[in-house]
Amino acid sequence: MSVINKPRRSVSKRLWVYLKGHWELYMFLIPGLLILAFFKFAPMSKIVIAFKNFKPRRGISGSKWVGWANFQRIFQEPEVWQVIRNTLEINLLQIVVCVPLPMFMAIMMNEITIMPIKKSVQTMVYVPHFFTWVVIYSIFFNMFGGMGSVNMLIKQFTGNTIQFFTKAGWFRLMLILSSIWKGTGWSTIVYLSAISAIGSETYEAAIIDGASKRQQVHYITIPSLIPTMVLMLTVRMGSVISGGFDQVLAFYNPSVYDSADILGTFIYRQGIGQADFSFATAVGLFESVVGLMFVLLSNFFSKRLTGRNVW
Amino acid sequence: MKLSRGEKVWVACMYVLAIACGLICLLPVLNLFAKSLSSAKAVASNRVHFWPVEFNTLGWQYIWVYTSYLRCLGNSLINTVAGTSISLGITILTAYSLAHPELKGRKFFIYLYVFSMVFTAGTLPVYFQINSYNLINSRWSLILPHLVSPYYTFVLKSGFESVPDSLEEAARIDGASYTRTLTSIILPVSKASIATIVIFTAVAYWNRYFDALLYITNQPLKPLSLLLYEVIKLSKMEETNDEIYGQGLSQTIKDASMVIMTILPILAIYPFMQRYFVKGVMVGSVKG
Repeated sequence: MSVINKPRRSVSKRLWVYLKGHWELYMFLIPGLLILAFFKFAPMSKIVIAFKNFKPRRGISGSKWVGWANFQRIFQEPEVWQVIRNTLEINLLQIVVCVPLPMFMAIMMNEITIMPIKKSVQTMVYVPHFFTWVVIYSIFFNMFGGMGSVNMLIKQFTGNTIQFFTKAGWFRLMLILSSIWKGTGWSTIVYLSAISAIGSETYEAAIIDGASKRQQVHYITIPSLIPTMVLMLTVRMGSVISGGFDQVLAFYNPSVYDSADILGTFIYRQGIGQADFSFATAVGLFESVVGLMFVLLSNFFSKRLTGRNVW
Repeated sequence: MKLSRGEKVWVACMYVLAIACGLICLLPVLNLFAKSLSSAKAVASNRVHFWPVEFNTLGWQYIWVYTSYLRCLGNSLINTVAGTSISLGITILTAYSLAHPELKGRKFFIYLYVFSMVFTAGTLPVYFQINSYNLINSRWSLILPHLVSPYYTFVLKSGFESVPDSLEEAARIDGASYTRTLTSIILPVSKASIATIVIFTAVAYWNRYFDALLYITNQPLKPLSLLLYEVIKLSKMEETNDEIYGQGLSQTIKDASMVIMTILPILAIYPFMQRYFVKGVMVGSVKG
């Protein structure tokens, strides 16, 4: 008896002693886990809608199962393919343009040594990061809209105005420019702290060897910032499917739906606007799964390249 | 250190470029501000640049009187303050707990948080879930779903982990509970990272408008971000011509006033938050 019972008792006793010492740590986890359970994990049960022909009147359990029919529709409707193409094009374009810019801006800021000028420039370029996309849209519409100052300038030279918000190509330019305007200044912070980590000995050694300022930037600053840029690039690649929703929703209008609709906005209009709940949920699941793959892939590469997890 | 002539030119170019960048960010906002305080005539004839022409406050008055600006501002304040403070409490407790290697099942909990960060149920499932909780047209639909941010939890966790172990161990050996250690040792030395998280959580609550677009159809509960969206987007789907509202007021002025009145609260606290920026952006250094 005692031979068999002894180890058992000591296991439960050890657990008791452990919990007696550490119960607080578990208590601390409870509020967060509750929110996670109710608002992140519980909604996942509603994904079944994607496999049903959901009618609000019948409720989720009362609606008919339709298997993969909604997903087949994703691959059959040309509109969805257009939306997927838009999503990839818009996000990739933004990544290519918006990821390298802050690096150059940081190099530029680093040359500014008069503190009052540096401080005020930084103050100004960080501000747009804190504006919601609707505000950014208003600011851009004010400049590039029919009566905007940019169009007035164009009119003076060419006699015509450009429909920046209703012509497909120009609209994408608006998305890119507004992303640059909102994010570039803010993103320099990461590069500035990377530059300050380089250390002055490296530069001093280069100066003794007769390197000019331009050569210092070319052979020291840029090479040491490349890893940071690669990390930023991989992080951004993770959101190539899910990115840009708030921006496009604030910017677009019916005349550019063809070329500006991305997965997020399509799901919103299809699901809430047209009450095509099951199909929109299916597209949403498709987005989440593909998005997950991109995140995992980007994390894999970031680990490979820099030895760090994105999260 | 003496600069050669070419280098001097180069540095000068950098100054010019930097100041230009600053102006590119500043002037469009200034232009909108000037328009919001100018007369419709001056705006329509494009005479307004960076300073109000024929100064008047009609646009601001219009927003104040004819929209529920004050009410929406109040709602935004309530949502932001409630959301940020509850969220901060949860985030601190979770991050503190997860920062302890002696927590059994720690890996599992961390994976739960990572998973909720990389995989989302999607817009509609969340909508139906909120609906099943009867939270449509409730303030809580804007507050509760965003209380947990896995990302900031990890930021704070790595902040806590950077506190020297010896500090906490000494207190634990003296018989202090985890609660006591957290409140009297860890929190006081982590003020900077906590302030950073407060800023970003608050700005996110303040700016979020899509949730309200989905869940709030009840006018009195509207946050300011949704009011802005409605004024700007729902009345201006095509490029409208000015001067619809007669002599005194035009759509442009109303929109400009709405935007300026929305960003004023952010600009007002901006100087106070600026010093916490750098710490908050050290994104890449977060380890899981």
